[in-house]
Amino acid sequence: MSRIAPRGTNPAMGIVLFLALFLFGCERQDPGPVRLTGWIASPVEEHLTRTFIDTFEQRHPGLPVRYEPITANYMDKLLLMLATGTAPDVVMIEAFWIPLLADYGVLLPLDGFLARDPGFFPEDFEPALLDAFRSGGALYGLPKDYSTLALYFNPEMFAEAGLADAPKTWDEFAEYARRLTRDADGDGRVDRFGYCHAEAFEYSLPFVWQNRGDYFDAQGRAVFGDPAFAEALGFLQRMKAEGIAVMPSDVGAAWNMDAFGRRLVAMAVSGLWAANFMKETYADTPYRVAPLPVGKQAASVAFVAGYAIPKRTRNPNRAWQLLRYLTGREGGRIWVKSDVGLPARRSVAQEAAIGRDPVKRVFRQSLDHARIWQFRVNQRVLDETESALQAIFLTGAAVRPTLADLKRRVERGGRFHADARHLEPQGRPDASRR
Amino acid sequence: MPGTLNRKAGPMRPADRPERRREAWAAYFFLFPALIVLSLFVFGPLVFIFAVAFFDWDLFRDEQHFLGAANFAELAGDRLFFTALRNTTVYVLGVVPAQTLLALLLALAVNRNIPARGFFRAAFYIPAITSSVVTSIIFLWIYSKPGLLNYVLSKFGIAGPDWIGSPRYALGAIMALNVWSTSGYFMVAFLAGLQGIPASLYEAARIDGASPWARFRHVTLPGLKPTLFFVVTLGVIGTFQVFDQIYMMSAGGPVNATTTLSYFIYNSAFRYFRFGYAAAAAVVLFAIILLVTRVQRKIIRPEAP
Repeated sequence: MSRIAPRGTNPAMGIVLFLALFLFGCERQDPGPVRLTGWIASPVEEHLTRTFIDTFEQRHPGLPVRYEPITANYMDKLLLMLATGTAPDVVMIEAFWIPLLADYGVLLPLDGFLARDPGFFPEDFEPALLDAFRSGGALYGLPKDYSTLALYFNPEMFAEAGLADAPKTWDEFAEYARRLTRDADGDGRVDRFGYCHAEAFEYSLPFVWQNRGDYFDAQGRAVFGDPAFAEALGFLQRMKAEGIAVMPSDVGAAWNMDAFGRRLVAMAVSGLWAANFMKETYADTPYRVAPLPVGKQAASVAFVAGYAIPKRTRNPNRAWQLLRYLTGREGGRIWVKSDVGLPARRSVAQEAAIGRDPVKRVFRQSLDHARIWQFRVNQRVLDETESALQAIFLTGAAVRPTLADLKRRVERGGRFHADARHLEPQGRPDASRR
Repeated sequence: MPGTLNRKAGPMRPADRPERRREAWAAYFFLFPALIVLSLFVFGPLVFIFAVAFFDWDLFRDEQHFLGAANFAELAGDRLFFTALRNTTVYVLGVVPAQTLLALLLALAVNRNIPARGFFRAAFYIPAITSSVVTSIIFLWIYSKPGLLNYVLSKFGIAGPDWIGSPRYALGAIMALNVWSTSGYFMVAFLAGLQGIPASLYEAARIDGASPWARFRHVTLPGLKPTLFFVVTLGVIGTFQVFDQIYMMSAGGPVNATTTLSYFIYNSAFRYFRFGYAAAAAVVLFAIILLVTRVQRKIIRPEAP
């Protein structure tokens, strides 16, 4: 023992000295590479991101990029990184989070960069997509791509049922689903259903909007107690109760497009990403895409993905160089190959002849009557809503009492309604916020 | 064991003291890295939780707002918290007796001189050392609508449900998985306990004409009391904290049927970003586990003969 700790020497002091020297040595002097993060939606997108970085590095020799993808629970991890100042210099972000992150004060406003960069052409973006990244008058991100929701249908099954085209109204939708539901193998049991409804809230929301209902209004008040909300859910619930619509779990599918690809259902609602999924997983299942059937008005939901720069980045100017390339015309031309989303820039969409593509043009056209998937509410409100929808669609719970109960749950004390700070006068965040 | 040596050598001589001090320094030297890590990632957060529970703790803010007991008051009116508490209670009451009984039966079986005893011991123990993520994914396939379980049931003319997708069956299905995956681990504990019971006690009981049941009741069970306490305590703590299977298999759904306290705490902190509220729920969970363990200690009394 005395060989390890000789008399008169304090080993703790040695350790402290070692740690101090180690930490001192860790201090980085050069700016290092620009760090980029994003989620991985598909292998295609992953491959394109790597290609993109290679191209960017070739064009910008002094700006190496370090790609740090987050493979699961993207927002859980990114929120923690943003809160602790450890987020990469450029982060992929869904427009859904912009109001919340703007209130948290963790994103860098980009207006100054745009003003100093006349060659960037922000007016080229679809206006609704660019606006999705604005909050309180400032721009906190730039859109990369987007997708709306549309109706996938199986033309073979339609032909078998004597149907030529997709349903255009709710009545037609229910009627077509009825005619498409059948016992395909003749064993006396129904094994093919008209429509598969996804459990997630965003798939019910277009029906609510089509019925002139709403979820939260601009003041942050829950308005899903209104009859229009209940009527829309009631319409979908009746289709399920009648046996002409199913949930993915009813037919043992992982998600609604899995059921569609396995020919268990004739119709399903999804985004452009499902076209890529069909190509990779169910290439033999024929499909066409049509706008969602219309209720009292046409409505769809648009999911917008883009990039932002955290406020605490050490390299804002270098980060901007990467961000402007990711969301610029050249970057857009790379993304458009992915088929995961539609280009946010109109010039890129035009070059890619989106208007002539029978699938993509439907998603593009749906943007004209789509609303952005974006609410200024705590995630718990959405989770509670999804639970209520599960009760309605999985257990057949009565719609109105379930919604009344949901309203009570999310409005209790105004706590989950929206974060308390969002309800402060003028909606301004705390002065102490970073 | 220096302490043992000293006791054997009688009272410590003055000359031993510097030597002991040097040994203590050396011990602290070796303990230091582990203590740093444990303090940073275990003891520190454990103590810190009790402070955070009284704040509206927001990572995006420089100052934190003291709320007093407001987080606890809010918990008292949060129906999701009580749903989580009820689910967790059902989980503990279902899993702990089942896994304890199954582990005991397995231990009794493989403690006998049966053919391929080593194989069975390994086979029962493998689920305990398999990653819970892997077992969760395998069981997702088994429990799915077109999965293995329903295939077996269909041979008996039973059309099984989507076990994890059904609010009625989801929690029970995850409980069954947990019983399966933990019984092997506790079997080893019981096996060690069984082998610690002197064979002479069984011999004496046999000479006294005790039946197999009487030998089990009056020799095996009392001999296993400390092991039983260990198994039940670890079982209770583990089941109260169940998280990984819930996270992997059902995400607390459907209709919150599998939302447990740990999952509620995780969501409150990392999804809803309400660390103070999550900490308050964690303190409640701590109090429940402490209370249950103390009650259990009174009932089982491991030190009693």
